[in-house]
Amino acid sequence: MGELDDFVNDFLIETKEGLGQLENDLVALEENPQDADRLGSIFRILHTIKGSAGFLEFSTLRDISHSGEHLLGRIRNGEITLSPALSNSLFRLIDAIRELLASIEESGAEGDNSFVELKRQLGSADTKSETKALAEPTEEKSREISEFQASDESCSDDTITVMAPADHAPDETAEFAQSASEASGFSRDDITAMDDSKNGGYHSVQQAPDPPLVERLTKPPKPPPEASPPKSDSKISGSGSSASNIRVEVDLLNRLMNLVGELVLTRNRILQVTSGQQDPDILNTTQRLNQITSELQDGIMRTRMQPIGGMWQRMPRITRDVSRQCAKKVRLEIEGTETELDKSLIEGLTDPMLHLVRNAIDHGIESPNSRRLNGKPEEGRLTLRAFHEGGQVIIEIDDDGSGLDMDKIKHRAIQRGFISSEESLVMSADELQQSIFLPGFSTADQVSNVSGRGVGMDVVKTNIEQLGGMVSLKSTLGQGTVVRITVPLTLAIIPALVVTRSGDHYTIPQVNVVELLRPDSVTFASNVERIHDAFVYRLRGKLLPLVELGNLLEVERPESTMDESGAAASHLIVLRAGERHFALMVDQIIGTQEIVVKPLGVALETIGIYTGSTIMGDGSVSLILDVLGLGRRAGLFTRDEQAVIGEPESMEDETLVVVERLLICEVGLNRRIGISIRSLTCVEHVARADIEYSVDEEVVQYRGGIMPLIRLSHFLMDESETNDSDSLYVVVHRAGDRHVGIVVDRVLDITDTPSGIERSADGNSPITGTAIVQDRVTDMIDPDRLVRIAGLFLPTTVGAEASQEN
Amino acid sequence: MSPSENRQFCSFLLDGMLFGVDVGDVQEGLRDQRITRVPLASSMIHGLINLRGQIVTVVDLRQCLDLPKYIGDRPPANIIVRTRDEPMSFLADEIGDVLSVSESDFEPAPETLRGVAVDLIRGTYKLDDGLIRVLDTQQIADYVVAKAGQGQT
Repeated sequence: MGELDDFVNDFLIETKEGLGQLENDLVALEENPQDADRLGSIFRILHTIKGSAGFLEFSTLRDISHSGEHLLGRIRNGEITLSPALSNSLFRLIDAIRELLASIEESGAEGDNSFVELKRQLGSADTKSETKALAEPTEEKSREISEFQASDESCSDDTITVMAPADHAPDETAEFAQSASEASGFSRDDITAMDDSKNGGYHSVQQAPDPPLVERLTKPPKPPPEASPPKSDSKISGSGSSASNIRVEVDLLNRLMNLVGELVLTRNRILQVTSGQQDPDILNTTQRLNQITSELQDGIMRTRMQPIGGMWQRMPRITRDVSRQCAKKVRLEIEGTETELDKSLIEGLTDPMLHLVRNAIDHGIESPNSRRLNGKPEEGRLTLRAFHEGGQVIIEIDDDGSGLDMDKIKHRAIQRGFISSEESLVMSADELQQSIFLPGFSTADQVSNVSGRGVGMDVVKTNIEQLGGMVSLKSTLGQGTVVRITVPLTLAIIPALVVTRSGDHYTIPQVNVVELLRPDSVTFASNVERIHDAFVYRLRGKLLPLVELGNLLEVERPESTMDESGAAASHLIVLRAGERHFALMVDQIIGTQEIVVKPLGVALETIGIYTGSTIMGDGSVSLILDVLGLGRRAGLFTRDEQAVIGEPESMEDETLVVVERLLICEVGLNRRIGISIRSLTCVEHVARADIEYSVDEEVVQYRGGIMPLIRLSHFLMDESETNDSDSLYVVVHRAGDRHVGIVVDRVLDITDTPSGIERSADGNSPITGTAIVQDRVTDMIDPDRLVRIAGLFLPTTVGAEASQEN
Repeated sequence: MSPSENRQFCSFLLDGMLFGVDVGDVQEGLRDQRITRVPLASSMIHGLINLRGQIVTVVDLRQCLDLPKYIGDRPPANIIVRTRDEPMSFLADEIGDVLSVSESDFEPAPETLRGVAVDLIRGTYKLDDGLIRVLDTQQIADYVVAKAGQGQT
């Protein structure tokens, strides 16, 4: 084919763009078969493909597009109506064109498949006229498309005329920057075309794939656009724009991006060096340098930016196909298509997005029947939403389906061994919801054809985390689910928090930072708890694992800094590692800064605690901490792994109670008790002043209800409470749908239930047995029995659980 | 290489011994670089430096060669060398001159050479007043990378 290769390349790119639009138009047409604008648009795109394919001598492609065009012509003339079977054939036609394009891209030829069956489906009447009917003017009399007829013909007859846009010899470089900023606007038009088919959408569809090719055919060939152009996905632009866009190799953009990164660092350096200067000349110059660098950085980043709408073009078709497959009715709403993000991010997000959309339709949205029964409209809503927030891009996949059943998730997570039951006690609903991102987790009752094919939410999460992003989920039972993806605008320059430890600077990607805390020494001391050799920090009633950066990195082992008593004022950063939060203690928090991510050398890749490095304003190197790696090193996830490994045995075990874990508490003088954590929800600090009385019971207000307190010491014939501080430790036990607080003096540890328990036969004591735990004699308490003996609630709700446990 | 041919080595001192790397491998020598330490990295990795915007890993040659820790007054010098994957910095006590030696003065490393040095020292060249031990740049880079996976040594 020789020099035609360039044309073929352009043809491939443009046809792919056209197909996206075609697909969306077809979805819309299916909804509303009377929509003449849609029909016209589909018709024109097919016509363009046919014309170009004819010119480039791809006969199969030309023939099948012609069959499709012919069919559409008959629909438009009212000869036939668009039946589901026909629209299916048209969708198959799109797939066939894609297949052919792929084959052309790969081998330069169309391959052997001539799609006879498809052509037959598209209309048997038309087989004889295939070859000569390249541009039948008779088909083009419809009013809607008449204004575009000139361009149509120019392409399909082999007489190529130069279109108007090609006439203004474009000063391409000058207009390039402008076009970058305009690109978002154009693409918005494309997308609105999916919802309403006013003239705007119409324009953008018709001329885009067509005139640029014509124009290019008449001009001397350009350098081969090897790499896909920066705007290709999104640019289905109006007629004038073809002249103000050029295709640039991504490689070149990447190089420019690197250089700008260097410039940013140099600028930072200069700013720091000159910060003490008085000379107005120097100050002005650096100010100017600062400004230009920022603008340049912005501009270069923008060249790599693409509106997310390009990626979403495929969504209407996918929604249609998947909802058919699942026999559901789904209306797709798309918001914020103009939101721009880095090209590489868009590429990386495509698969996770597809998965989430499939998931939402398959698992989220209910069948029309059950929606009606629940008083919802039969048609489910699936909203894709993108917007910028705080220098990041937020993408939401929002459905109004059944939502997540928290109990089911809790059960499932424990059953699969992803979380232990004591963890489920301290996990908030939010944290629990995030557990569906764990590998192998599925609440689907059955694996369907659409989702559940092994690519789980964990893969989605991994993919997004690889992009430096986060994914979280919020769900309300019966009302729907919102999956929220947060990604940085770009991967090369990210906002990060700069901290110090032992004089070294470290940076933490902002995306992992939840909040910063600066408790004074008193607050700190009162909120730090020690559980064996681990520390936790109490934040608004929740316990966060607390780790010290120096300890973690083994740069120092200051024994004293973590002590409850001796802590100096401290800086804490609450970090998000996957679905877990933990508090990281550092010497100082310097502030947030835009950093340029530099790769680490090969020799350092394996440490697993740094994602890269960056250069600070003073020219020194700072390591970028991998928050997931930190969490892993701190031992945050070890239990998950153990649980997965240990799962088969523990699941088989018939006496589940034995493998359960015990909360070890101290009551009175040196008396240890163990409570199975199974029915405990959490451990609370209750101020003595908050204790109120109802009849003769001690109660506290808890989560909007009244929670009776049981003084364990009363039942153990041991009145000597040794905790004389202002607050009590209350172990919250759940009995049926009520909470009971068990007052203990100290919470010591959580351990496995020991095997050698000497059972106690006394049914009137809350002590069910005694065992040696950590070299100490420990009484086992059955909280249900305790509640029963205390006579607090009706025994019916409690009794069931109690008998089950014994 | 014919025996009469001359070879050039960038010489440097480690623990009072003269070492050298092929001049062709050396990009530049630098002093007084701010080195950022990398906690949890292997002890052979001394840290990172910023070489005009590029992050370069600094290799502690004394650690590689099982020599005692450096305790001099002057901070050690960085010899930036090119390796297959990326430039690295070799830490030396003192950078010396570029020495020209004749290939005929080459002696392979003695068989009694102990430990890791066997792989890292290519051989020696006899000088008028001693020996220069020639290190294999790529071997050292490979060795450091291979050992990095094993955590702290």
